[in-house]
Amino acid sequence: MSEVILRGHPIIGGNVEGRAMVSNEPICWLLSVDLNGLVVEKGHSLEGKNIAGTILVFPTGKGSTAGSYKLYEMGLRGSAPKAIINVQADTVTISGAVLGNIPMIHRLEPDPIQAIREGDEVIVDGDKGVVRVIQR
Amino acid sequence: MKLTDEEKRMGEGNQGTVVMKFMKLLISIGEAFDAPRMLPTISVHVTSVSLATLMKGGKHIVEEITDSGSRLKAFTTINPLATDFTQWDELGIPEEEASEQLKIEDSLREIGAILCNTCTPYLVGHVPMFGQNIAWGEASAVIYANSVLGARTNPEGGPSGLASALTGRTPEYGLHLDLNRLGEFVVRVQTELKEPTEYGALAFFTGAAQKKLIPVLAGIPAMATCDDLKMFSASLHGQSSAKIFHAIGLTPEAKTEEQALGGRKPVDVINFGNKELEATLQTMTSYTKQDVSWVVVGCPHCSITEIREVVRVLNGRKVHSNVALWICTSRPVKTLADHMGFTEAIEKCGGRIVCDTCPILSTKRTLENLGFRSITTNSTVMAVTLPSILGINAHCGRLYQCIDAAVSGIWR
Repeated sequence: MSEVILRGHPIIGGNVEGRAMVSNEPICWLLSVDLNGLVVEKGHSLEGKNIAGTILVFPTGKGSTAGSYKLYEMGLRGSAPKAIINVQADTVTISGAVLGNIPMIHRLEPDPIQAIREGDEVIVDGDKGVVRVIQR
Repeated sequence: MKLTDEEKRMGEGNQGTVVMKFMKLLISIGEAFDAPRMLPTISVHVTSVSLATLMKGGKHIVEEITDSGSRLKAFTTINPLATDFTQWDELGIPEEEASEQLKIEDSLREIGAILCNTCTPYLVGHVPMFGQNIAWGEASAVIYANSVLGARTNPEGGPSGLASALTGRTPEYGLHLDLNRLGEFVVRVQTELKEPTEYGALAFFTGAAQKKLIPVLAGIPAMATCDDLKMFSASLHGQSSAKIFHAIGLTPEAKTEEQALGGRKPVDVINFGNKELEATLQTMTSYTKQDVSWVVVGCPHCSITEIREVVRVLNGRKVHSNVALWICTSRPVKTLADHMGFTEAIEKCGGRIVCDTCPILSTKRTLENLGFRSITTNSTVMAVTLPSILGINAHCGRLYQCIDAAVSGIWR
């Protein structure tokens, strides 16, 4: 077991910890996931997995602007991620995460998609933009 | 990000917790995109107001604004809703959905939105000026406003649109900046385009050729209409992430090719001739059978000119008994169509003018209730998006072809 520290640009504050889920592909909140957090987009690298309650690492959002309300509603239902870590954040994801008070950080060094693996324990400080990864 | 004292106070809650939350939202977006400051804006078009896209979460947000007593500062229009309130039953919408949507519309009225319920606000009096910074949602309207009007907007989602409407601000990044508006590749149009559907095919071809770059169109006739560019704007969105285009000699930031490209060399130059036009149009028809059940004209919403053209092409012929003909538009344009006698002419032939909504916002249940097996349309954007959204395939063709199909019940 080893620990890695990633530093980035904080977008939405808050301190949470949880297990990582990592996608190397963008996520469309309207079409990639259902309201229970299950990834339903055909051929997506996370297809069939559930993102509810995870620390979700992905490059950026994609697709319909209607996705913001979907992410917010997932938050109300308890099926949103606990925190979001992006390479570069997009407007749709930021809007949904602000409404749902989901801590969010982007532009981290080193690259979170390389440094974080599914199942790693991750401690997110959304105020400072710092992510501690305890690698399995 | 450098904020004015007033903006800082809004973010600290001096105008209530709702304005505070939305100001924070704009600050978060601005900081994520390195915006140096907020821009004042007086023009907002809010998207995601239909029941289908708002969902419970969005409904909760709208109600929260209404209850807080906060009111919209910018002139704000809204996108189509889930149904036409004068004929929801005939459109196959269940009563509980119609009444739920009506409540949302009431809340939006109360907070100060203008209920034009259309994807074409620029056809009904919401016309920002050249160079103005605005905050619009609805990709087709965003592209039209940036390209044809020369106003400046990023594609705003429902929450960021409401945030700009409530605060009168939008962060300065993306398409608000000169450098991000310049053309990147050139499409030489070598065929004489005659109607919106053909412009839609050009847009599809353009977006498919370069999915991220800003197109510059050369060879668009000076007599191109706003209906033509409206269809181009809508169809470009389906294929490309570019939210602006230029047409040399026609759109305001493209007096010359050099101006449109900002003096840079184009990344690519492609040709669009008659062969490409016909081939592109053919790929848009995904329904391989000839039977016709649902003909839709009006995506984006029809202008009065387009409704007049439907009346002219119909020429008194009756719509086939197995076919529904919908002409989709905004309520203000329908009022004008009523006054001109166009509505009566269409209804006498068995067609229907539908307002406030859009087939893209229909639910599958609507289709099942009305027994539609496919869609037949002159809208290149609907033909391409409906198969994935509603799971039905499309016939796509020029207006005369769609109207002939409505009359005969057969696609030729």
